[in-house]
Amino acid sequence: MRDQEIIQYPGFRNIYDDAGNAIGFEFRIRSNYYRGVYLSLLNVGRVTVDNEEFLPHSGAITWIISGKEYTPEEMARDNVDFWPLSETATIRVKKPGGLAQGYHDVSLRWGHRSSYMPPSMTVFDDNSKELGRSGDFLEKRRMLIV
Amino acid sequence: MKYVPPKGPKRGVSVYSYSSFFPQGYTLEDCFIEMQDMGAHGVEILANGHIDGYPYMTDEFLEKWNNLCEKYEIVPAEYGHWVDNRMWADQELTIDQCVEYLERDFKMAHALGFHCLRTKLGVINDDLDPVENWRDLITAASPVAEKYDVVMLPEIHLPTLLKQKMVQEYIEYIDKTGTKAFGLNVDFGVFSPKPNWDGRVRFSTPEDFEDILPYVKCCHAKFTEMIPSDDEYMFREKWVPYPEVLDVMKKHNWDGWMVAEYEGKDRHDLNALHEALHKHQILMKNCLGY
Repeated sequence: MRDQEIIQYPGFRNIYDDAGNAIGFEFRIRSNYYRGVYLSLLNVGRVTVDNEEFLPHSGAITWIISGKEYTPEEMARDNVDFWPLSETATIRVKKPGGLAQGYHDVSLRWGHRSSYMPPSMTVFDDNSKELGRSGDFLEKRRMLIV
Repeated sequence: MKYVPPKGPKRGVSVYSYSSFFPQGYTLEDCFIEMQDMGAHGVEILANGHIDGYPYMTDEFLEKWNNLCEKYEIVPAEYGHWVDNRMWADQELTIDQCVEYLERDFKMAHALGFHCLRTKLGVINDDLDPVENWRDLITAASPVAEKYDVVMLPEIHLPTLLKQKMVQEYIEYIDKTGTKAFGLNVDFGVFSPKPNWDGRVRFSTPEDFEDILPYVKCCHAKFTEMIPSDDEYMFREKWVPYPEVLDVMKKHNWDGWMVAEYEGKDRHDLNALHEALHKHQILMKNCLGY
């Protein structure tokens, strides 16, 4: 049983190093597609938290799929590993100190490339405010950190 | 006792219809229970979504699949899969690489009991024309498909129409090569005069369907809006002329599965989905008489 929302409330938490210092945060998403995809078919966009932006190629973002952690660059080349439809993905963001206790507006931009759709419809540009016509998503959720 | 389907056009469901709910925990068994309720015995799965361990099916999944099919009298009707030729943002798969991916699907499909495969080819433009080298790809994949006794079916889907050049080219290829590994899947949306996503209104007629029927191996029984009807059908699809389309299939004793694909605006509401699926199966049952 999962949250109907794409961004799952369970899994939103700070992450810590061995010394107990918060080094960032993470949250989970479920798929909004009807099939699983090879990682290279995913387009990784930015994470925004309370107006602070974490860009996909800044080194701050990794995705964890089936227990394995990938940078966006690794995902872009990986045509072997697969994100199953039945599993959530965890998005991990480096942020020294983590997120403060209280409410946070979390958003994620991502997408997938579908060869069966016209190429003109599957353009993904994380820098464009406007979403592409197909396979380009922006999800937001307001959640509490304890 | 194993369910044996009759000859002729048969009713089924594509679990694509339940797409919104799989990532929330819906299962194949949930779908099969409702299909058995409705007497819709044929199933289409989307391999990349519904096979545990894809692209390397687990043994547990195969066992679960066989048990579920037997328990709920479900027959494998169509295996949906894709040729993801634009595998990387800056690079495409070669034909040999495509065939490697296809062989994995052919193997799984065969093991699961599927003969018909809805093989989604990559497209190159807004008219959904397939990749230019589709003949080379199909020719390279055909011997492998024959080895696993499967047939690849590109889906003819709006804005493509049945009389379009692309469909003629597929048919010419089948006639010329005599291949048993390639055919057509027709999505019933082609009969709908509803404005398409690109704003155009264009549709095919049941007569157009009659001309290509021998090449059609499986159909997507697309529906978007079920409305009540005072006649013997009880329900009609607002846009697709089901009685006329199914009459053509009955008249020619077309033998195969029509798997229901619901794309109504309310498909993300589970109760609305159940109602729509039931109404649609009532319509098809009343058209066929079984």
